[in-house]
Amino acid sequence: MKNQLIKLETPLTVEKIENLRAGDMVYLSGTIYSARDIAHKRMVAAISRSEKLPFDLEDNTIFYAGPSPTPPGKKSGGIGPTTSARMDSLTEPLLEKGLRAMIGKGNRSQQLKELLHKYKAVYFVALGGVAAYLSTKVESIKPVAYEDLGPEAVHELKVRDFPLFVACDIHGGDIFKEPFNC
Amino acid sequence: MKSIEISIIKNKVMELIAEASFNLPPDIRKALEKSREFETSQRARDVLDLILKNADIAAREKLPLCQDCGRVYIGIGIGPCICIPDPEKLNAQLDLAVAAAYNNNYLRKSVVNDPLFERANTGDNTPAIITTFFSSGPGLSIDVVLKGGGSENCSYLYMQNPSMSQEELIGIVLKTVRENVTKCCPPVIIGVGVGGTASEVPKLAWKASLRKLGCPSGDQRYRELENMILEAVNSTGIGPQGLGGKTTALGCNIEYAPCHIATMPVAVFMSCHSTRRASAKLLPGYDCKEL
Repeated sequence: MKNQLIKLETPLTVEKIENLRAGDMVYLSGTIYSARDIAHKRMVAAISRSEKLPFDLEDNTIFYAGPSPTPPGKKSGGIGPTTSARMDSLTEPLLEKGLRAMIGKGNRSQQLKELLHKYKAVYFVALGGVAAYLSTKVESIKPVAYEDLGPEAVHELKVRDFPLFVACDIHGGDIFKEPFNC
Repeated sequence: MKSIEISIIKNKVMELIAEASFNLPPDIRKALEKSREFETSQRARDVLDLILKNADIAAREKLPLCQDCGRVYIGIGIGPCICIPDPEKLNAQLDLAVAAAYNNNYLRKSVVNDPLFERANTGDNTPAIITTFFSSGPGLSIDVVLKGGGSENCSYLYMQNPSMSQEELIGIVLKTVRENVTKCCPPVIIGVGVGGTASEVPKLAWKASLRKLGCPSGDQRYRELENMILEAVNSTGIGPQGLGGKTTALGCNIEYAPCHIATMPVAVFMSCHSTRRASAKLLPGYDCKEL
């Protein structure tokens, strides 16, 4: 099947993502949240203590990212994905709470891919190391939780046509494993 | 004897941090453009185009090439008859330069104070990793490298047997690249260190990963090995950003050193497509004061 270019708006419901296939290009618009290593650790700890999370995970999208500061007169500083595999072992509790999509860079573990199938969630990759370009797709960005972590804080981002590739779909498809239809 | 004030070195370090953050080195741009012509997959060409477009936006808008503005490495090479007054103050003063450069240029501060317990952000991207050495070149050389965590995490040390063949070395590098490269923003520059000691060989690999593209090893045998590794890596089909294509690496550099009869240290490092490095020289007559 030929890969497609698909425009999606958050929140991402199961209906919106179930037909995505590894290799499809997606332009994502709407609200997404940044969270990386330590924010994950804190959220997983909060879930285990049945505490409230900094944002509702149901049908939400997490971007594994730590932005650079926004210079005056700009909508966003540099933004881009960090390595997703570091979050593999911290992801299942978030999927249980309804997390629908993750954005990062690089391949994921076999176990994580099985979780995507089980919980009906999708893993996108954004291009790494093109932070100046990706910042032009961000309409606003602000820290909303764990601000003591600086760049590792949870940020709320509003994005417009943010370019992504479907890397791992809910059917077991993996862009890093399969022949490319491009 | 000629003296160079620390304040002059500080100012130059601040300039170099900004230059490296916003400007893709010309040798990397050239290699990306060449790869762009060579790729047959539309997606690989699109990815390379975006990397080049990013470089244009970064330079024009003074936005960092990558949001991971890196850990700062500063190498100070002291040439013949050059002296730094108050050398004991150099490291602390260079850290002040790093803090100022990261604040003034809106660069991300990515250093935490303690690895295991607090992991509290130091707030100014210090401390820098500073190396001072004597050099045979004139004046004082300053090399600044800003290295991100993604590529740093793809650094490996292997203590092999002295009987290791060239084919086995190629196999080790290829396996390391295959297992890691999608995490460190390909197309990468592969740095291989061979020989030395367990503590020295990572420095060789580090140096190799930062050597300018188009500057192959001076030794014909190592030069051939560099080409063979590059060809093997680019035959994997992993491609730009791991999304398929012929350009998984832009180059492979090897640095080597004598080693113990019982050892064969090997280190493999990778630098991402946004390798940030910038250098300058402070020269007698321009930046120095006669003593």
